[in-house]
Amino acid sequence: MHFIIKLIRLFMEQHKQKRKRDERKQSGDEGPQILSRELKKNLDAVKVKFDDSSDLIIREFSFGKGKNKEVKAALIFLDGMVNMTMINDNIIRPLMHDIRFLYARETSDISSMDKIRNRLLTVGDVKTIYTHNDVTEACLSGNAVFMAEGFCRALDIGAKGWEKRAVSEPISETSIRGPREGFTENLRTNTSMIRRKIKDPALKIRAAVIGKRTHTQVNILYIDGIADPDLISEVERRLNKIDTDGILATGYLEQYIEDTPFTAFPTIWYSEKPDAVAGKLLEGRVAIAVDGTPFVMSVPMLFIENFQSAEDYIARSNYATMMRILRLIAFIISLFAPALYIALTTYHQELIPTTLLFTMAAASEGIPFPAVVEIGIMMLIFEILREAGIRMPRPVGQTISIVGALVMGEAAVQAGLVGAPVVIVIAITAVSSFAIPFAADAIAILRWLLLIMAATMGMFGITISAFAILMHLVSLRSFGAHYMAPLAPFQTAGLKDTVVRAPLWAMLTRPRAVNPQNVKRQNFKFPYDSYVGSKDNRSDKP
Amino acid sequence: MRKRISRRMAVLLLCPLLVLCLCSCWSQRELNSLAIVIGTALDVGDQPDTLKLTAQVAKAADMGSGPASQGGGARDKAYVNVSYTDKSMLSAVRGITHMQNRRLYFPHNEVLIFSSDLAKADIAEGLDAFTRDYEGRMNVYIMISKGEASKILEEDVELEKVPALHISGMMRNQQSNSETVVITLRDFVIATLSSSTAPVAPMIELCESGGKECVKLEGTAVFKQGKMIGEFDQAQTRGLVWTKDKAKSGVMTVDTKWGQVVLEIFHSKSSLKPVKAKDGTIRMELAIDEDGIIESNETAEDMSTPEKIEMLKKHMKDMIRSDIKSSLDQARNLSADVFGFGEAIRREYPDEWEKMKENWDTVFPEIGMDVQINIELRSTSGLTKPVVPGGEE
Repeated sequence: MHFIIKLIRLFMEQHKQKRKRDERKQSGDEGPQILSRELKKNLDAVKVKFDDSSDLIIREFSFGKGKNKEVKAALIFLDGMVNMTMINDNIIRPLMHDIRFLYARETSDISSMDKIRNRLLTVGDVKTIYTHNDVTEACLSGNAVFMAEGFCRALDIGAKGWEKRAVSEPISETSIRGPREGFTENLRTNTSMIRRKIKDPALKIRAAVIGKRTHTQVNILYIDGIADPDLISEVERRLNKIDTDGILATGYLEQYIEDTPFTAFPTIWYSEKPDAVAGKLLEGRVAIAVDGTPFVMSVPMLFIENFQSAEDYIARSNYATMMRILRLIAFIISLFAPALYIALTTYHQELIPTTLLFTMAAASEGIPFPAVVEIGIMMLIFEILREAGIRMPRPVGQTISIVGALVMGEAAVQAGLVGAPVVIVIAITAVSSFAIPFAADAIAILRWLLLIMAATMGMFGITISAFAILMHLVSLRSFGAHYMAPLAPFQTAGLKDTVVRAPLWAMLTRPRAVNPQNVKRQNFKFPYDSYVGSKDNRSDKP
Repeated sequence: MRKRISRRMAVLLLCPLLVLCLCSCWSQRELNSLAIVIGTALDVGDQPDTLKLTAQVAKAADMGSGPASQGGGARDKAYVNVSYTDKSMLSAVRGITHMQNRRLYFPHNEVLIFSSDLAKADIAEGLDAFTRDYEGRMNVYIMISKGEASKILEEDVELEKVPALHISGMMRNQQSNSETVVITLRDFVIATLSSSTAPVAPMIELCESGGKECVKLEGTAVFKQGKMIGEFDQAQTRGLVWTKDKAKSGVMTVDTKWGQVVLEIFHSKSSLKPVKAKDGTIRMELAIDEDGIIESNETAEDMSTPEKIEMLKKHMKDMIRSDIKSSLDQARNLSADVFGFGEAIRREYPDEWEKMKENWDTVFPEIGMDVQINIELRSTSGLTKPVVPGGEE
């Protein structure tokens, strides 16, 4: 019996290997192809590979002293990906012009690529490459490739330079007192912005390339000695497992590596602001930057991060605490308000104060729809308006919001299609959800669930859905961290950055939920002590 | 593996569905399908052994807050009084559905008025129905009307839009005069459940002022075994309020030889306690501690001197004492333990109570009461001397 199974397994294994071989043949990927000594052969290979793509430029020229000692060479690059000034001044010019000074002093010939690299090219980033694949890769990443007759190697010259957006103020997160700069679509610019915030060699940037066709550059950032090594390897493991042909933005990557794909709540944090990401790195988190998006992700994410903003740490702690409480209230309102309205007006009228009940009853007098339908219609209209306002060009978007919000809201009430309290409830719900942009997506989905439960079961329905949501939240994990930490599991020190945002000098530890290698952030020192010391100094000096 | 996942999904889908079976939407009702009752009156029906239920239903659109009421012009009444006569209270409630498209909704009922005719016959049925039904609230105010109860709910209201809200608002403010017993359904039912204490309820009557019909709270109805057996007038009610430690605020007008002085009850505390004399008889001791201030002085005398203060205190004591006495006399006449003597004795001397409780009706009028009144006049308010000086100086 066992023998048969073994045999079948063996057979299947062989079949698999054969299929793999076939696949490799089809894709033309049969190991590295070494460059030839003949320049023409090499250039032809490049031309075939790019199939004479119109943006491929092959600049052929010759250099060297004397007629017979001249060497044929070529520079290959993709138009628009390279910095032309650099190509002209730092590559072609030294080779064709400056080389004379070299010959003036030395009699030797151009005998090796290393000489060209070491003595002639005035470019910072030059690598020697040996295979055709390297040549293609270099061209595609915006470098220029230098080849010469008689050499079986080429030079990969870093001459990247394409049109890019300047660093500007982020649209998604505006700041009042904080830094105004935001990430751009360029990965190096982004990592450099973080590097400028954390001037420490312990800030490590690990590179990875993801996407079989897009070859998207992905960088993993962390601070060595703070970030948990297991967390870093987990991030790398998940990134390596990705098998897709294209990663075009951070959001693509997020979907591949998040813990729970179908939860309504975000389990990966992202930001457009370098200072916010730097803050996360200092807490022991790992950041993931993707080339081509002005957003950098950070893991693990905790539920409470939905309510935190970079501005919280810039504002003074008492005000920041108030903002935190406001955001929590906004969260509860935007999640529960429509459901509560339905439960109260259709099941528990006895809970409404008498006078308020009359107001609400008066408003619902003559309304043709049941309260659930009323609220449902208004919620639907609001979601459509929001979507329309975001997707349309900005001037049109404004018109839509005016028509939608003012005209439709007012007209619907005037026409007696919906009651005024319903419009108010929906408006409060909408405004509240904008106070917590991070959780807004989750709320928009869960609100419907709560609405249905409230419409069918009243307060009981709200209670069980609230319990279900809470149970779900508690069960969530983000890269090994409990989503509801530091509330569940309870971590006393972590509470300093939840509902209350303790003064910075009192936040002595990094969030334990992230499992940092080094929990201690600072020693406790009350600022007033230093003030007392300086007071004496002040009185001594005139 | 796939099988296990699909089974788990099925369980997940089933759970909410099963929960739905547990309650369903049976109690769901839209706001505009409710007739919100804010006042209820119960009268004796015109047929024998029937009772007439009058429910005051608010017309939400005319309550003055919705957009519909902004029309201006001659405004309709913001309420409808719906009456139905049937054999029992609840059958009358259901009977109203023969006349109205909306179901009566009682949780916001604020007042419950029994006519004294009904109260004299039997109050138990209405009480039981209102207490047993979970829809009504226990903090509804109970009142006994001198005439027909449904007429009370037809008064011409001026400040409020609905008579029932006017009456309930009035009841909430009664503690500022200490001349009315304010009682809710809950308190009333607790009193009826006691074997000795006689429940009381305020009386309300229609009166006329300026060509309009208005209502007035005056006097107290006294109950025994679920029937109204008598009344307390205003002075007797005051005495009752003092005895039951409910006099918290109010004014007393004192006649002095120079004229009237009005004293305000600022703070008061009374305690009722049974004491056993040497011969074994039990007497009640009522101790009243009261702080007052001079609210107004209509005489030309300076009332701030110690002698005058003493004089005022004595007058005040006499007034309170006479109120309490007349109250006690009336209670003895009716043989109704409105003060809760029985309960106090049961707590203090349970053994004696066991002997007394059999014939409490005859024992109660025999129980004597000592009244100790201690008054402090703490202040003469903003003035010491009268506004128009004169007199002895």
